[in-house]
Amino acid sequence: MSLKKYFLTGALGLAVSLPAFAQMPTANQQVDSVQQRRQLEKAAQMMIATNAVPELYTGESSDVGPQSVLQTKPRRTYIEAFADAQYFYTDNMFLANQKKQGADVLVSTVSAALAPTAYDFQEGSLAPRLGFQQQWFNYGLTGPQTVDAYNFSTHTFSRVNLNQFDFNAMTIFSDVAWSKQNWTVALGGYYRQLNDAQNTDQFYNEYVPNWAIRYNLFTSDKTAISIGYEGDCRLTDTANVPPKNGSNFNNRVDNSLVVAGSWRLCRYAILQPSYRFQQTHFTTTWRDDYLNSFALALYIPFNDYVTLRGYVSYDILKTDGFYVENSDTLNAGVGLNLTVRF
Amino acid sequence: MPDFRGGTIKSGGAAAAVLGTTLIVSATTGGGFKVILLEGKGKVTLPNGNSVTLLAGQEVFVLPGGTEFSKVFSINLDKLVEGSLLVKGFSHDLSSLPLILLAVQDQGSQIKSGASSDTGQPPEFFLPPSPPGNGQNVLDPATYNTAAHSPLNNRQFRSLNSSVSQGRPPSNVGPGGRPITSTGFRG
Repeated sequence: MSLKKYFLTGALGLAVSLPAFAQMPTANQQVDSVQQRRQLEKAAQMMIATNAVPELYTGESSDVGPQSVLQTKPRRTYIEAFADAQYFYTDNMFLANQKKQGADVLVSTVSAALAPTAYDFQEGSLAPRLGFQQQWFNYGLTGPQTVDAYNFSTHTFSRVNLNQFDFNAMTIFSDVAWSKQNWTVALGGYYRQLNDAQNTDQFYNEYVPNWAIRYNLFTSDKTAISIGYEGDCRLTDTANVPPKNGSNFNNRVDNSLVVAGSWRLCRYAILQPSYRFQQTHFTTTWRDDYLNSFALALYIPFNDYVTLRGYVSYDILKTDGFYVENSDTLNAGVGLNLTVRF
Repeated sequence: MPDFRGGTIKSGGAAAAVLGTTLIVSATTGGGFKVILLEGKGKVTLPNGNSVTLLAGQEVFVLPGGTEFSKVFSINLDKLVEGSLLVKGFSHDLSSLPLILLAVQDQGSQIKSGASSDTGQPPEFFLPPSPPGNGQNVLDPATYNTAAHSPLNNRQFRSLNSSVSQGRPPSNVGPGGRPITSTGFRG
C-alpha cells in the first residue's frame, strides 16, 4: 500500500491509515478478527509490562511510528497544605425544632499535613498523613442580628449578637489509607478541641479513633459512584454539663453510610449529589441520634490547586436526647479551596 | 493550522467523530481503530455516545469488535514523531509540524521534571468531598451542638437549675459545651 493511501491531511488536519477501509468483513475476516481481538486483548493486558501499545495491524508501528507508553511517575511530595473559605446561609443555626434562627456563616480553614505521596504496599498504595487543622466559625457577618440567650456562668439573660457564638476548632490528625483497585480502607484518629472565640475558653474536646471502607466505581469516563462505611468512637470532655452527668456525657459511637455520585459535566465542572445516614449512640446517656443528610455540590476546578464550589444540603436530625431537639436544617453556600503539595 | 477543525471517521461498524487539530488514526476491519493526538486537544466520540478527550501525546484505541475505548495512554511523542512516516515521510513538512514539535518539547520538559502527564481525568474529583466538608457538616451535629446549642425551653431550663434548692446554681452547669445558650423564651 502506498504511503498516500494511508495519509489524509488538509482541511481536517488528520493523518489516517486505513488498510481495509469501509469493507464489509467476510466470515474469514470475522474469524481473523476474533483471533486478532484475543491477541490484542492479551497484548493490552501486557501493555504496561512491555511498555508498548499493541499494533492493530502488522506493520502499524512502521507507518504510524513507535508508540512507547509513558509511565512517568508523579513527582513525590511530602507536605499537603490547604486553605479553605466557605460562606453559607443556614436556616437553623442552633439546630432547633421550632423558632429556627437563620444566619450567614463564614467557615475558614487552614490545614498542613505531612502527607507523602502514596507508597506501593501489598499490591496497592498506602497513604499516611499526620497533620494539623485550624478552623474559625463566624456568624452574622452581614449585619447585627440578635437572639435571646442565657449565660450559665453569669446566670443572666440577655439579647446577644450572633457573633457571640463564634468559635474555633483545632484538630490534630493522623491516618493511613490503603487503596487497591476500587477499594480504599482507612484507619486513623484525631484530637479536636473547641474554643470560644471571645475568651478562648475551651468548652469541648474529643479523642476520635476512626475507620472507613469505601468502594469507588467508575460507571463511565464521566461518572462514578462511591459507597462507603465510616465509623468512629468519640472519647469526649465537655464543659458545663447537666446535673448528675460527668464531663464524658458526650462519649459516643458513630456509624455512617455514605453514598456519593460524581458526574463530570465538563473538564471544569463536576456535579456531586451525596447522601449520608449516620447513627450515633451515646454510651453514657444511652441517647440515640439519627441523621439523614442530602447534598448537592458543584465543583469547579480552575487548576490543580484552586477549586470553587457551590452547594446546598438538607439535614434531618432525629434524637431522643433531653437537652437537644429534632431538627431540619437547610444550608446553601459557596467555597473556595486552595491546595498545594510539595 | 487548518481552519476547519472537525469531522467524522468511520471504520466498519464503528465510527468516530473527531474534533481537534493534528492526529493519526489507524483503522482495521471489525471496527478496531486507534487515535493518536499529535498536538492540541481533540475529542473522539463513538456511535454509542461514549467519548474521550485527548491531549497532545495521548492515544486511545478500540479493539476489533469492541465498542468501548481502552484507557487513555500517554505515549512518547518524540519517539513517535521521529519514527513516523506519516509525519516525516513526505517531501515537505506538515503545516502543523511546528505545533507538533512544540508539544514534543512540552512533553520532554514534563519527563525531565518527573511530573506526571495529565490524562484530562483528574481522579480526585471523582471521589467524595475532601475535608473540611460543606456547611454545618464541617463538624458532626453533636460536636457542633456543644458550640451552638439547641434553644432551651422552660422545662429544660428548670431541669438544669434543679440541682440547688436555693441560691444560684453552680456555674459549671449547662446543657453541655459553652456556657452561653440560646433560649426559646425570654428571661
